[in-house]
Amino acid sequence: MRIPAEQWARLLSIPVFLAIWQLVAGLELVNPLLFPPPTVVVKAFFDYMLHGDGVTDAGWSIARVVIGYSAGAVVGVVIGVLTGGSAILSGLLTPVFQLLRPIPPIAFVPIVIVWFGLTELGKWFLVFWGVFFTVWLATHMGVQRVTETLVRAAQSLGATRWQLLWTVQLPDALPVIFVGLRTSLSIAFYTLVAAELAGAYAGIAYRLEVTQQNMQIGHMMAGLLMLGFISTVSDRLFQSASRRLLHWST
Amino acid sequence: MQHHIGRFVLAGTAILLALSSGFANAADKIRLAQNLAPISGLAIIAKQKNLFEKYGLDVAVSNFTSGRQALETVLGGGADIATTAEAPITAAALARQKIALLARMEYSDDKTLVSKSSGINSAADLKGKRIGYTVGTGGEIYTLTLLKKAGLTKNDVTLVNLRPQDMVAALSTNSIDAYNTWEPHISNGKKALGDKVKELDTKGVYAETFNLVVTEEYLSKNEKTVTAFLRAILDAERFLKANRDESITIIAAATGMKKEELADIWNDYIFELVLDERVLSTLKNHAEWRLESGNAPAGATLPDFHKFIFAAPLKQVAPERVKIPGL
Repeated sequence: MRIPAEQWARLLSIPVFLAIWQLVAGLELVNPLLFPPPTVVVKAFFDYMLHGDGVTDAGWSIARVVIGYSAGAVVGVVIGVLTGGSAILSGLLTPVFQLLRPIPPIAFVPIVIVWFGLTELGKWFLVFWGVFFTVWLATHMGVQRVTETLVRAAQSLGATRWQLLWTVQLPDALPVIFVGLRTSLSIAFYTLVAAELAGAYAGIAYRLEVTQQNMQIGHMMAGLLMLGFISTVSDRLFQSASRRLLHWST
Repeated sequence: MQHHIGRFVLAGTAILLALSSGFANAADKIRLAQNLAPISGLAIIAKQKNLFEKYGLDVAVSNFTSGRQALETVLGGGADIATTAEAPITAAALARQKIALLARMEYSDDKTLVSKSSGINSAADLKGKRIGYTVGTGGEIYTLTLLKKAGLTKNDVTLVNLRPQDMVAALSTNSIDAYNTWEPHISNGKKALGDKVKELDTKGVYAETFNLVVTEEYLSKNEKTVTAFLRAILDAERFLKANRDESITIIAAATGMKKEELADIWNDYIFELVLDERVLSTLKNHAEWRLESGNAPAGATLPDFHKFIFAAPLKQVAPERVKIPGL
């Protein structure tokens, strides 16, 4: 049985990446303290997970992402459907959202402290902020760009506005909405860096900050590796779930 | 024909002479990575008053928001000289980086700002309170030293890790009762929160130092350049002490602060190009804390900081300013 070339490429992707990294780090073209080889990072990773705070940190970070992401996704879809379906609401809200959308969550840290103090709510809000706009925009555009023929067909069959939205516009927009939901899943992990910057006692991004202060770059990169790993696993799970839910579009 | 050859020889000699004189006059290039804050005051004055040029130096400045970033840039080969506090120096020393501390430029006390409603009137009153601090920095050592002096440990309080710029917001929402940090964040807090806050008298508990650091390799290859750099910094110190108002104006403009605000805290900054016991004891205390608290690489031991302090360039510039015995 022959393994296709693309499968070979996939199998070799990460080992080749690690080999190049090890080689470049081994050449010491840059200071190995600042750019440690993967062997050092993997050792730091196991140290972090087995003897350090890796499990606790991962628990806190995942909880923050799950809560912030869920809230941002639900609110983003609801508002996106409303602005996508109503020209008045779109006119009212879109300029404000477009103005706020580019503001990075990290710039919001001092304002979030003033609003929420150093509570978990503030950390969830920062993740929410990162997720909401992407989901809202995808939903808004998905609903607005629904296939015209389907809308006309439904209208000619006497569909009410609610029926039109629920049975035509939303199912047709779902593939676009899911692209937004998937993209924002990665964004949720980016925003952890901002969310765990102020007043956190645990969390992967919090530990990144501490290890960077201590110039323990190997441990810092182990934290990044863990963030990347959790983010990849969640992306895969999301992809698999979306294939089942959107069976008609795949 | 001989006439022509003579002309070529003359012209060639003239070009060579011109080139060599050009090389002789070419300024030595140095890349300075500095934390753009009043603590880098001497380097800022030296640049703004063209004192580096006076000693034949062409200094390209890269600004950072922390001394750690500046030192990392030097270790990564992106700059030649860093202005940095003791925390990044001890982190690098414990990671066995070959760095050379040339001199201290400045030191200033860390301070404590408390909300009046918290009922804190002395360090002992911090018991049971929530205190903002920045993990891994001199602010952490200051916090632990302050607690120790008051007969407390970190288990008697709730320590909350915050960036200095977020501390005022946290205090304003009563998310913390007090914060420990360096200027200008204490004066910013007083300005923003007015009579709702007050500063505790903690003078002398812990002062952060600000230093000039290069790699050993750079120093060994560029000792003359480094010595010229220190001469310019020494001139900057003399200028700063003789011209208080103008120095405040220059540093405030460079760091984006208001002149009046910098003037209010100006006396807290002690500028002096020196190598003294304070440099050594601060590094030792900081490294001991790193080892005790686990904020150091596995297997690290307390380094002999005499080996990280390179006094030769400062000795050439001002021998009386090298005050550490044995150096």
